[in-house]
Amino acid sequence: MRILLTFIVSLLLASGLQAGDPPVAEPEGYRMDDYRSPVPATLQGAQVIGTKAAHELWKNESAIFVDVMPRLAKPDKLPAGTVWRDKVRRNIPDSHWLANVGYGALTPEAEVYFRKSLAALTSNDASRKVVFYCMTNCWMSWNAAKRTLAWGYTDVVWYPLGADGWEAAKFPLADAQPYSLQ
Amino acid sequence: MLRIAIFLLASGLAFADLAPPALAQTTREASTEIWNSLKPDFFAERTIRMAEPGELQVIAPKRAQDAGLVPVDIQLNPNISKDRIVAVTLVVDVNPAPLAAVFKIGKEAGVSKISTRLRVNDYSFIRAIAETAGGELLMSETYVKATGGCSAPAVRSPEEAKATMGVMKLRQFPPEAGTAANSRRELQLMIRHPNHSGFQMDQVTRYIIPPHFINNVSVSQGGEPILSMEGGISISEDPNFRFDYLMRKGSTIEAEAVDTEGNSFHDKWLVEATGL
Repeated sequence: MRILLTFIVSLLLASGLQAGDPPVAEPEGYRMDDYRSPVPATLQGAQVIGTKAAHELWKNESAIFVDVMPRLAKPDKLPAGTVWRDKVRRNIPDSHWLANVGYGALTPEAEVYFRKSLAALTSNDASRKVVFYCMTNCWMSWNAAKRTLAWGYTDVVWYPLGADGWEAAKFPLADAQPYSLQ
Repeated sequence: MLRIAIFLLASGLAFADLAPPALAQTTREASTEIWNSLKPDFFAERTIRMAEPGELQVIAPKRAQDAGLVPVDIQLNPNISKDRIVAVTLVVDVNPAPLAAVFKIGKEAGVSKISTRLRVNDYSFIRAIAETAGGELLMSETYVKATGGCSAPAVRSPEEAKATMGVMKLRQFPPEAGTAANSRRELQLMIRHPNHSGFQMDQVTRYIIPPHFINNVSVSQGGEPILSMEGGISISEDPNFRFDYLMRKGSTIEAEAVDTEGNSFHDKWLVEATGL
């Protein structure tokens, strides 16, 4: 019995798994809903990095950082006088915030914005290193990185821990504004 | 035995391996900071004191199971030092439109509790601020852990929501045991309405559905107001209000609701004088 227990413990430890959190498999297509939930450890075709590696890339300015955190834009049709507060997004300094491009399916307008922004940020060079992130356990960065791969970009990096993983490592964040195409 | 051991062990492991707290979620301090910046918009420079639990209390689950449907109870003493509560404002600090609802209480209505369901977009304090007839403001607050309530997709299909929009149902609760002689009763007004927040995505077209919600509700008894509500996008799909009142035998309860497209809905019900 004790031996069996020890065996189970070592298995658990070796796998590095959290009890109750089975590994998440990569879906074939895009993640379509429930975006704030555990993510896979991998993204086929992309490099997956932790905070230390992300910081290296950032410090050396050797990658383009793209934040895909969604943003709730103020609707046009609210009653007059509605008190409104935009949520302040704090992200990795010098990132480009492409809000709302991490959904599983994009409207034609969102897709055009995403494509054109990527082209502008990489100066039309699909071999530039691009790092995608949002928040820990958020599928939006996974989706966006996958879409970028599908568009033929060859050096796509996914940083799944995102802005909160960065902040937890005591690296600085800065107030962000959504990227707008010139 | 083995199973228990594994369970204990597994939970221990999970605990040891817990991810650092999600720092980007709004902390209590950050929520309070937002509130301090919002307060002048709603109450100018007026003083708001913290309420004693017997006077006013807002109650919500510490962790919301469904951020789009967070149950919130407001309990109030209708007579604070003989000074009646005339209105209660419900605020969710972090919601993009933080003012969830303003309830006005009828003079003779005797309302002492109001329950509804809110969308909560992120970790936040939910606050109830009561105003007395004499103009005093008092506040109760509770911190709720929830994420994404404002963009949570609708429960009903658009077709179903359209077909039943504006249908109202009133539940009249029988008196609690031993209080039958008393005239205090509870009502629950349920209104079918998608109450689109303006952040929900059409699951087919992927476009954001424009806001369309009930922004005015009033309930009266024999023409005397019991409770009215002016609400925003934080009120959940199918708005639902449960409250108590002093029932008058033989009277009629009337409810009227208006939405942001100018549609108005009404219905009326005879008071069921159960217990009297």
